[in-house]
Amino acid sequence: MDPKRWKQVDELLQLALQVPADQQEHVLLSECPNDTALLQEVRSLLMAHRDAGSFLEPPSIHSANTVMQPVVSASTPTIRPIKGQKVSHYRILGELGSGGMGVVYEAEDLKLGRRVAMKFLPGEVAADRVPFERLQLEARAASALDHSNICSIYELGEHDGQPFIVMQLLEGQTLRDWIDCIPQLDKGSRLERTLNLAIQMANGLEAAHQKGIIHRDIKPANIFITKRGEAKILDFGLAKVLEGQAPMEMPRETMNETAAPGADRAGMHLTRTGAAMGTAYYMSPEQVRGERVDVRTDLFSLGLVIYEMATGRRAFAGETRAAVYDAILNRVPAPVRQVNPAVPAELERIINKATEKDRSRRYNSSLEVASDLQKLHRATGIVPWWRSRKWKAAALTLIALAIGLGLSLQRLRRQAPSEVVSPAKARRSIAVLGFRNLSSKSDEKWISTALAEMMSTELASGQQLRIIPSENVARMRLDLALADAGGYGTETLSKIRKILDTDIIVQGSYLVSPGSALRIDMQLQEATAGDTIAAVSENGNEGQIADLVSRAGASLRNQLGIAPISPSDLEKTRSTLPADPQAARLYSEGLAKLRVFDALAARDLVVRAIALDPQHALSHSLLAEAQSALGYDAEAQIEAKKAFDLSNSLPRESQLLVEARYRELSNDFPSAIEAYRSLWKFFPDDLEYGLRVANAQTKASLPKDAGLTIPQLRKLPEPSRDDPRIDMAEANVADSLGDFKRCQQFAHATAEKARQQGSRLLLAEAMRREAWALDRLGELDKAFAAYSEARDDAQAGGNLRFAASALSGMGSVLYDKGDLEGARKSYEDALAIARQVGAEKVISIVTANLGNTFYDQGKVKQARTYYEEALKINRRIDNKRGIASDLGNLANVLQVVGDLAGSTSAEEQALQAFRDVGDRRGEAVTLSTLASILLDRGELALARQKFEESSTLIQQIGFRRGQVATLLGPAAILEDQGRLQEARANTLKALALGKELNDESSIAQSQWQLAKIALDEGNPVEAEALARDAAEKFHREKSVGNGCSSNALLGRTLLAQGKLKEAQTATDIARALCQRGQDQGARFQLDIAAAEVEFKTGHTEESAHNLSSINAASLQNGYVGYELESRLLMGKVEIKSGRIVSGRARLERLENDAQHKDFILIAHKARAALVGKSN
Amino acid sequence: MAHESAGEITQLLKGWHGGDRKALDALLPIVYEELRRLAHFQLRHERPDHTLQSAALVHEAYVRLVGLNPPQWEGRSHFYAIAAQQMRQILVDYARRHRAGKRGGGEVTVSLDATMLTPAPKRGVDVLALDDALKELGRIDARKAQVVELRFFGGLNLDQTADVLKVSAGTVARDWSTARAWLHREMSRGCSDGS
Repeated sequence: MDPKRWKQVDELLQLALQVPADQQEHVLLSECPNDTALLQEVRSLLMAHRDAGSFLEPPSIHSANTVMQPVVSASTPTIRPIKGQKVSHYRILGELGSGGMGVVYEAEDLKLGRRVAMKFLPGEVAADRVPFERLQLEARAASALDHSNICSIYELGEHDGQPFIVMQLLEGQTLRDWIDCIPQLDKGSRLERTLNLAIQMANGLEAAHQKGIIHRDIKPANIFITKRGEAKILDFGLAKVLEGQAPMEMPRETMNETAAPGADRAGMHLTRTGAAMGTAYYMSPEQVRGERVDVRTDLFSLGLVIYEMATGRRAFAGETRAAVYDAILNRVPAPVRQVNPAVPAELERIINKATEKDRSRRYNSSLEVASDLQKLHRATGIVPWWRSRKWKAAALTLIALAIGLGLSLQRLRRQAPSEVVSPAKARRSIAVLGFRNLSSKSDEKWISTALAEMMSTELASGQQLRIIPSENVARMRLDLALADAGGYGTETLSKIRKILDTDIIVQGSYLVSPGSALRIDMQLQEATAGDTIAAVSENGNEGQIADLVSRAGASLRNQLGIAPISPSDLEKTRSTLPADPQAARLYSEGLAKLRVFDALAARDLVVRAIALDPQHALSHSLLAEAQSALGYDAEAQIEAKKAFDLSNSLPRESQLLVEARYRELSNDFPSAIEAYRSLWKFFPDDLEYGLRVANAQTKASLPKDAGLTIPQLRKLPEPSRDDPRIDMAEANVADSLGDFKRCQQFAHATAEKARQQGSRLLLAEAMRREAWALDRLGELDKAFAAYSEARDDAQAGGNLRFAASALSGMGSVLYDKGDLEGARKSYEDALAIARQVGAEKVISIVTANLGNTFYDQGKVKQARTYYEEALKINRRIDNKRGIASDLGNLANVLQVVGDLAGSTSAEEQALQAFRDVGDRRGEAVTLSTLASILLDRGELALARQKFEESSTLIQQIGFRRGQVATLLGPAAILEDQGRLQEARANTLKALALGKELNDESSIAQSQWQLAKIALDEGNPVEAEALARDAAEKFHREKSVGNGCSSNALLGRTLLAQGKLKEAQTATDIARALCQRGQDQGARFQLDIAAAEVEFKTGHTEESAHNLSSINAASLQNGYVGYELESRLLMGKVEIKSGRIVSGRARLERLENDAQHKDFILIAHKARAALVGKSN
Repeated sequence: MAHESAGEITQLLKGWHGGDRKALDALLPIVYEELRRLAHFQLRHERPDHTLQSAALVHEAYVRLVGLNPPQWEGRSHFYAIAAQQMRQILVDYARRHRAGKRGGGEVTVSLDATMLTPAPKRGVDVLALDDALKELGRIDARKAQVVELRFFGGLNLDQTADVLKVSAGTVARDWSTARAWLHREMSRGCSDGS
């Protein structure tokens, strides 16, 4: 209905409603006798009005119970198109990246046959909060912009209710990435490029401003630099739609200075969920204040971007949003030339003018900025860099130099995912499958390994080919159970190609004749069709494998059209094998053993090799890996260090790898990540290195960083980007973040792909990860099945260590299901296998698991024995991480049995151990348990401080599940301090988080805390409901101690309502639960609640008696809170039973003590009891 | 306290937008109270078990409004408007998920609030149908749809609604009667055949 018509209807209806019903028809006819359609409409509305009764009269809350039903989690799923899928008339070719503004895909426009970038907007936008029409309006305005410095928008469409934007596909990098690489440029070209890009950006802005469009979100991530050096501004028009909420926003003509005040809500994006922090740094003061924006807003942001390009650092920094806002509003950035003296004074002036806080003092238009920049550019008179081509080489050389000298690669570490990025250019990849032994003597098998290793190194030199690591080849052989024999059929070839992601495979054979004559034959096959593209035969001597390989390599290089190897590289290739022939044999045999997971044998062999040739770097690396596999971390680290010290002789790629492994094994994750990252920078087409970056980040408890790395892996050329190991990495990241649902999904995807490929070992890994996640998600049967499959796959692939750990997982699931016998059996099987292969770390883990089994059953003594045993093993193998977690477990035991002092000291040791190994997640968790012990001990200020430290750490690493404890702990403190509203605010945050994570236990704990607060506030009905719900959830979770606590609390809420019988029942249940466990804290809660029941039911003497023993016990063990609480009740009991003087004296002392210790809530309660307002 | 605090919201928001972190900390408890007041006070004379539902709804609304991020409203009126919108969204979500759950798709978990509710005879409104109809009405006459949202979902009275929309109470009353009639007619017409 059009608005005009509707207005008529509305007016007529209202007119009619003003008169009694029997006169309405009369009014209608007299008002509009002729328009029958209108009459009809109004009549039917009048009828509806009469029939409506109380329709909508009681507000929705009244009918809440009819609609509030079980729900699934509330977040709106975002559609994730998959490769090959058709969306509208586009076919998705692959994901390019994702960011705050959505996910970007490369797609083919099937109508126009061109390649485009497609951006799917975030789920919340899709959830019809921003009307599609509005989006379209904005996109249409932006798509009218046709300028070489603006990324063109082609279309705005909608797919399954999810809006997407189709735009120009660009190849290059974002300005964000560019800035991160600035240190590699010399001063001259840096200035030149900064000016050049800045001019282009100003030009792009000018074009938009001319059309009345303000960007509002100019930042480095929104500027794209194409390969040809053009700057393109992305996302015009989007900032406004996405960041200003829909309901009351005005149309877009807001740049007019005279627009209605408050009309624009640009400032609101500072409050939007999902708005990337990146945005905050480049906001103008007016945006921070939520005021109207205009063209000068963009100029301010542009000024900040130029500042950063010129200095390499942000003008306004800050850890938190609030700090950044404060800086934007109130602080002056460090002068440009102070940060970088090479910047001309004039550029500093331009930046300062653009970034004036008062916009009336800024430039008035982009044109003025561009013009000033151009003048300066002409004055500096440098040759435009993109014409010289020199910059690229210079940059690369500098990176190489930095790597060679071991300089800090700090700048390379932080790399935001770019918005639209071209795939890395792929080199041809080549896999050396191996050499068949044509002689009958099996003791010549080592030559196969030696030849393959050397050949790989040879072909890798010069970096023109991407070599598939020989570990991967060995794994693939196990996966496919490949025999040594070559001549694979096309089907096998295709499997090999898929698993290894290789273009070319190298196969060969060798024959050792009497007198140690060695002949090798080799052929290179194109991996798709199996066509032979090169072949070579060489004759030589067993003692001169290196020469043989060099000759063969030279011939292959020639046939492949690759430059010959340089003399220095040739020298380095020889360092692949030990110089001593006998050592070379032992090393090669050891290597082969490790690749079939026989770490014990590998260790023996390589130790002998080292005895003969201690200077061979890679032997030490091998020994390090074997030791690490066996769980001897300290030995592994020592050997890795030796390898690193000797690594100068190695080719650069191997050198970096050796370094990275050394750093990793030493738990120096930042350096390890840097080393892997530089490898990846060198070889951006090599998924292997990207994966290593991501995995090291995950290990370093930096899952958020890893989460940024993974999208970059997905940008690699096919088929690398589809490699299941990327999904595996993603699953590990999700696990690290505590997002088990997502972890399970990705592990599942990995398993699917691995199964399809026939990668048995990867399948085992994926199944184990999926099982783990399923276990966390409470899907025990599925988890068990998955662990079993993981075990079988690992066994079939020959990795017994892995099989043992899967078995241990099976044990844990059985335990969760209540099958204790089965659990113990699985653990013992796991122990047997782990002992067989000497996997000490697995042994210690399984031992600790056995301890956990007892701990959870409340058999604390046995648990303690196992924990101590595990600790002993870990101390022997110097496994710091294990030591840390065993200490943490022991601390828990001590806390539970009430030894708070012992527990505190164990936690402190554990904390130190976690810090030593750089396990930040462990550190965070330990900090928060330490805080909870301190809370028990009544050290509120210290506890609070520890919770805060833990919280900071947890936020840094993005471990969301851990955040619940750091919200609830402070809530309990605030409650004790009588700050109930703040306590509740904290608890509600915890509840929100628990719900978001779908974590029953977190939800229940939050409810328990809410119930306590409600009770404190004198709202026992609400408290009862919450406590009941919490108790039920804990019951489902089989959490005995918490179940006891919540039933005790339930009892107190019932007492407060005078429901004595029910209260009695609740405390009885609590008692039954408490007897099954040995949770000292829960026991105090129960005893106090029970004493209160006795008191209220008239058993004053028993109550007094019990309270004094509670008081003594809590005093003895240092439980300050319970000590105070028991005194409160004792005082009340005394007064009630006539001992008024002593009761009052007790309460007065209590008030004083509680006040002193900051337990204000209890102090207030004591005061209330003194003035007779006790409940 | 509730009445004072309502005015305070605007003040604190200003402070917070001006960069004062403490303002935010002070703001959250007040918001909670305000929500509680919105939901709770109208129920005083209703059946006692409604307390539980209102607590559930308040918690849910609070969580959504405040969540883990800074709040997004700009003053008292805006707060009411968004609160109403959120309450609508919560009820719609519940209804929709309930429907989805019945179809047996996916894993259904029981939320805290749902377990607190006792099943009651179906006498309320079909929220999904209402939501659809409201969207339709919104296309024809946005203000009338908003009046319904504020009054029905937000639980505001005529004066409060008028205050939020910056129109007179008379206008709200007229909008309300037209909207109610229109919605009732639309909803009793085809019965919901939604997806």
